[in-house]
Amino acid sequence: MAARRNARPGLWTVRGPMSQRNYWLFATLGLLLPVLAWWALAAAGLVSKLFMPGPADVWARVLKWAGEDNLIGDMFISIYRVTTGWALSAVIALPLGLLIGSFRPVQAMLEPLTDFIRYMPAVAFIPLVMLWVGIDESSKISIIFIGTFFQMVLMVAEDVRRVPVAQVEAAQTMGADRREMLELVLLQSAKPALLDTMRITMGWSWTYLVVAEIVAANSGLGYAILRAQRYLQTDKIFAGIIIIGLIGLITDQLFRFAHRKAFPWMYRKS
Amino acid sequence: MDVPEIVSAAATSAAPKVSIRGLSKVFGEGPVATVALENVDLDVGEHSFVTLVGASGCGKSTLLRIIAGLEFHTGGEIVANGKAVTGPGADRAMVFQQYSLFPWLTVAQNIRFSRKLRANKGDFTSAEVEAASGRADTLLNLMGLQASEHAFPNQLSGGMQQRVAIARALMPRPQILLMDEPFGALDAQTREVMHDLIQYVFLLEKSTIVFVTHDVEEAIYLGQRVVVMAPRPGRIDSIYDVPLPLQRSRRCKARIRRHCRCTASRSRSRTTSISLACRRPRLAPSSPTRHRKAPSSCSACSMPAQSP
Repeated sequence: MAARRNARPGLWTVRGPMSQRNYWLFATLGLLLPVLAWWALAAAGLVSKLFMPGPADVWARVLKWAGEDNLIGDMFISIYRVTTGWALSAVIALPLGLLIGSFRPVQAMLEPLTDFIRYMPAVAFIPLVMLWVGIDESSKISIIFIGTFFQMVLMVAEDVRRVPVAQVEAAQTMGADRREMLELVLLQSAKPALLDTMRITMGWSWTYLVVAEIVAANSGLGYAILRAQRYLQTDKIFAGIIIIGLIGLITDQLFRFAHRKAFPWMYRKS
Repeated sequence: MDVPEIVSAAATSAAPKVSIRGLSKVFGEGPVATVALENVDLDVGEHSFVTLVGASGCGKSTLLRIIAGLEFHTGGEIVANGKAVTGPGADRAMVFQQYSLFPWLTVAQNIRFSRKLRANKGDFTSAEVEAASGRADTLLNLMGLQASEHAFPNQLSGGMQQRVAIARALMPRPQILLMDEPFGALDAQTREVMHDLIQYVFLLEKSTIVFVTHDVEEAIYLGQRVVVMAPRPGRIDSIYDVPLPLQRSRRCKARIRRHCRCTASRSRSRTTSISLACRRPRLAPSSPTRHRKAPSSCSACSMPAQSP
C-alpha cells in the first residue's frame, strides 16, 4: 500500500486527535439525531400521542407550564433541594473521606459500615425520614442526602487513596507531619479527582429527586412528573425529564469548566 | 565509646553517618513471610558516595527505604546521624525513581516545599528565610532549571523532572541523600548528563550519598564504595572500594564500561553476568574478610582490577 499523501491521522484513528470544530460538530450531531428520530417517529403517526408525544407537543407543554404552572418555580425548588442535599453530603463526606483514605483505623471502622448502608435503597428510608424529620423541605433534602452521601464518602476515600505513594513518601522524607501530609499533600494531590467525584455525585443527586418529591411535596420537577403520571399527561412527563436532563448537562459543563480553571496544570502540556 | 576511636579514627575521619548492624527485614508473617534482608552490616562515612547494586529482589531498595525510615526493620539496629532510625525525617532526603514531584506546584514551588513545611512550623528566623530563597535560586541554577522555574512538572521531560526532584531533596541541606534508582527511567544520553551532574553536586555540596542501582557501570562510575547485594535472602555479598579519584572523567567512564563488558563476556551467561561482574573481587575489596588478592590490572581494559 502506498503511503497516504496527507500524513495527518484520520478522524477514525484509534484514540486519534480531534479539532475543536469537529468536536462540536459531532456533539451537536449526537444531540440532534435522537431529536430528529423522535420527531420523525411522532410525525409518522405510528405511535399514539398518549404513549409518545412529538417534540412539538412537548414544547407546547413546556410553554404552557412556564406560562400557567410556574415552571421556573418548580425548577428552582428542585435545584435548591438537589444542591442542598448534595452540598450537605459533600460537607461531611469530604473530611470523612479524607480521614478514611489517610488513616487505616478510620478506614477499618467506617468503610464496612458505609458499604453496608450504601446498599440500602434510599426509597426505603422514606417512612423513617417522614417519622424522624417530618414532611417539610428537610425531608426531601434528607432523602437526597441519604442517596448521595454513602456513595460519595467511598469515592472521596478512594480518590485520596489513589494519591501516588511516591508523593506521600517524598513529603515524609522532607519532614512533613501528619497534618501537613493531609493539608499540603493528600488533599492537594486529590483535588482534581475530588472535583470530578463532586461532579459525578451531583448527577446521582438528581436521580434521587423524583424519589425525594414523593414525600408530601407540592412543588418541584419530580413532583410535576409524578402528578402528570396521575393525569396521564405524557407530554409533561417528557418535558420534566428533558428539563432535568438539560439542567444536568449544564451543571456538568460548569463543573468541567471549573476543573479547567482550578487545575490549569493538568491541561498544560509542553 | 572512646577506646575503639583510636583504631577507627585512622580509617575514617568521623563517626559514620549511617551505621547498620545485623539488620534484617521480613515481609509478612507466618507461612507467607519472606526474608527481604538478612544480617546486613554497613557503614556509610561522612561525605562518601556509596552505591548499592544487585539484581532485582536482592533488597537494595528495601535497605535504602529502611535508612530513609519509610520501611521498618524487623531485626538488628540502624543508626543515622547519631540517632536510631524510627521513621522518616528531613535529615535523610530521598530521590525516587519517578512520579514523586507534586504536579500541582511549579518547579520553584516544588523545590521550596521543604521550606514551606518548616515555615509552617514556625521554626524560621528571618536570616534563614533570606538564606533559603538564595539557596532555591542556587539550586535552580545548579540544576539548569532557571528557564523552567514557573513550569509545571508535567511540562518537563523525565530528565528535567529528576533534576527538580534532586534539587528539592537538596533544598533543606540533608545530612544524607538517598537515591533509589533515580535515573532508571531515563534514556542513556540523559543518564550520562545526570551522572556528571550528581558527581558535581556530590563534590560541591559535600553530601553523603547512598545510591541504589541495578546498573554495574553506573555503580562503579559514581560510587567510591560499591556494595554488591545478592538475592534470596537479600544480603550483602561483597563490598569494593573503587580505586579511582573522586572526580571522574568521561574517559574514565568509558574504561569502566569496557571493563564491565570484558569481565561480563567471560562469565558463563549474559543474564547472570551483570550480577557476577562485580561479585568477584576484580576491584579492590574493602572488607578485609572478603579480600582475596591484591588488585592487579585488568588485561582487557587496563583498569586496576584482577581477573577471576
